[in-house]
Amino acid sequence: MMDLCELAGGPTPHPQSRIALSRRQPGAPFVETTYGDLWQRAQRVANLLGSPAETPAFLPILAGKSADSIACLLAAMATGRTFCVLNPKYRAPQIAAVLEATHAPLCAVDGTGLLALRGALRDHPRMARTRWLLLDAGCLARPAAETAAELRTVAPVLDLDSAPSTTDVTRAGRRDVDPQAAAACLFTSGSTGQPKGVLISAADLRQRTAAEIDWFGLSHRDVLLSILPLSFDVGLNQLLTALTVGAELVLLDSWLPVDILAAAEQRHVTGISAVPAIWQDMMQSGARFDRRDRHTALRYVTISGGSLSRAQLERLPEVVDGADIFKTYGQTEAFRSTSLRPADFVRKRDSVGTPFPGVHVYVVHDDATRCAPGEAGEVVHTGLGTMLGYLGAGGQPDPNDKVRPNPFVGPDDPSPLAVFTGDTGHLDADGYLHLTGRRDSMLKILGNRVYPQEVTAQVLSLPGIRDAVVVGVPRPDGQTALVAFLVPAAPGEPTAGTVRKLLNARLPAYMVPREFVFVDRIPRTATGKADPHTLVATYAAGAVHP
Amino acid sequence: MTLDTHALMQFLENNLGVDTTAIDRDTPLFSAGIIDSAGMVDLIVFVESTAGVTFTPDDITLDNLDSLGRILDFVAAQHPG
Repeated sequence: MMDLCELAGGPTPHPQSRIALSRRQPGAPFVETTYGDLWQRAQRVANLLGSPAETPAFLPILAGKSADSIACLLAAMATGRTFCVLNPKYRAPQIAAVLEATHAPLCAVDGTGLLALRGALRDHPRMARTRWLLLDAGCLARPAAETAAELRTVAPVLDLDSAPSTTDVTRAGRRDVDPQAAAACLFTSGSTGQPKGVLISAADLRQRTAAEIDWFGLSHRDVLLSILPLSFDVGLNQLLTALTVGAELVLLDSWLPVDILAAAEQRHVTGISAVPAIWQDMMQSGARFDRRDRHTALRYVTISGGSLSRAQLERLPEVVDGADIFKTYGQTEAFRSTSLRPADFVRKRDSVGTPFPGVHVYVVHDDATRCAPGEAGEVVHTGLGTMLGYLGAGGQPDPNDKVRPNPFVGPDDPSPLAVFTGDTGHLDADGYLHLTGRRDSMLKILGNRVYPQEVTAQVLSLPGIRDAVVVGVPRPDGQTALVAFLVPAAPGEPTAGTVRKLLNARLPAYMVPREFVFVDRIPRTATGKADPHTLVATYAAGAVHP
Repeated sequence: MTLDTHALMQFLENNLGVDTTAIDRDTPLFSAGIIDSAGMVDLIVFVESTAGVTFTPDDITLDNLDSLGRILDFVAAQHPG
């Protein structure tokens, strides 16, 4: 039998009555899930899953943040499976690609996940070859219920509600899980148009959890606000740290500033991890925390997955009313390369900090030799947080890829692998990292990685489009917006509305351009590469009307 | 123009490219990822100008916005009687 209590990372299980999760639906009060209840739910899923027929075995989870979706994640860990929490914005093509890449025999899905499958079940044969575990069959909204009914005609569907419940949370016989086996697979954007699976070992998950608990000084007295999706490593680590120390994790679906402030007040939140877009929205709305009255428990916040402008960094302390601000920098392939402590926030405002415990950071020239302090180069990460490799890569490092043999391997840095991040920057004389940009065209939209050329390829594949290019354009609030310049085959069609609708069915919302601008031609270089500079300049000057 | 479910569905379909066969009056919009924060802004502007109501900053919550039904209830509450 499976010992889920051991997953808590400590010898003593948490008190059964302590709150593990809290969550509220719009218009309803917070619902609490105790550690006892969560562990029972996880055991129920584990009983249903049983031992995998073969390994590696993947469990994709296509669901919103809930006690049941988290129970699936825990059950995967307990039964030696690799969990893959899918980005909630994924559409059917990305979901099908994940099912294909993982050969997952079973996928967990809820009402939210069903909406992404709607209308697409017969377009992707893989979906019929997968068994589905439906988490909330009893409370589906009508459109999701319709999709569930259709799914039942296409593939075997198990209802979690019908599975036998159990009060038996056994402590006997911990299953031996190979610490070097992949415990998690997080999908991220590559430049090729297909999601890439980043494999993370059980040992590394435990180590990064322990390091974060230490870094933020977490204990069972903390209450962490989960705004970010669990498909994102920062969001996932919030969950794992909370479960390990026995803290409460508040599951929030909203990014709206008022909802964030209200949840923080109602649950006495102590820590918040957020991406720049969340802080930018908050500043835009004029909202702020109040640690003297409504938010007395708030200790710290993070800026993760990107940076704010200097002006925004100067405003943030007031917005969070003096709470500690940590910056963190990393990527899915290398969880956390650096972090900036609150004490350094003002003094090293332009920096993303110093190497995270367990990590080595190098800045290198194109030939992988080290740059001198102040010299710009590519940021390289070794140590804690390094992925095992990409799914499907066969475990072999590719010298042209992000993960390569560590050029600096030695007694000081025994890590066999290094992640070449593709970020450019320099280390200053004090050893603090300053980032300057990307070696490639990758953008961050609402915290998600986007390669504009992927979006361009999708637009070019649509009927009636003669030529197109999609670029990221900075907005006044500091966020990047995708703008598509289109040359239609015939004047007046397709309309922007038609193009948007077609893309919405194929791409996560953050990859659908914010604006569509119809032009007569896309300037190209002598080698045929799109040269959008004049288009963007004209657009920015407001001379082109979409 | 009166703001009703039909008008909202039309806006979502035509302006935000949402497949409205996939939603009904109660479908969570934001929390299910059907519209994102950018779409939310456009939706608020549409509701304000069509229904002649104003969202104060404190009104911008999922309680008021996360489904067509919630939006219509909010609008109705701004016009008592």
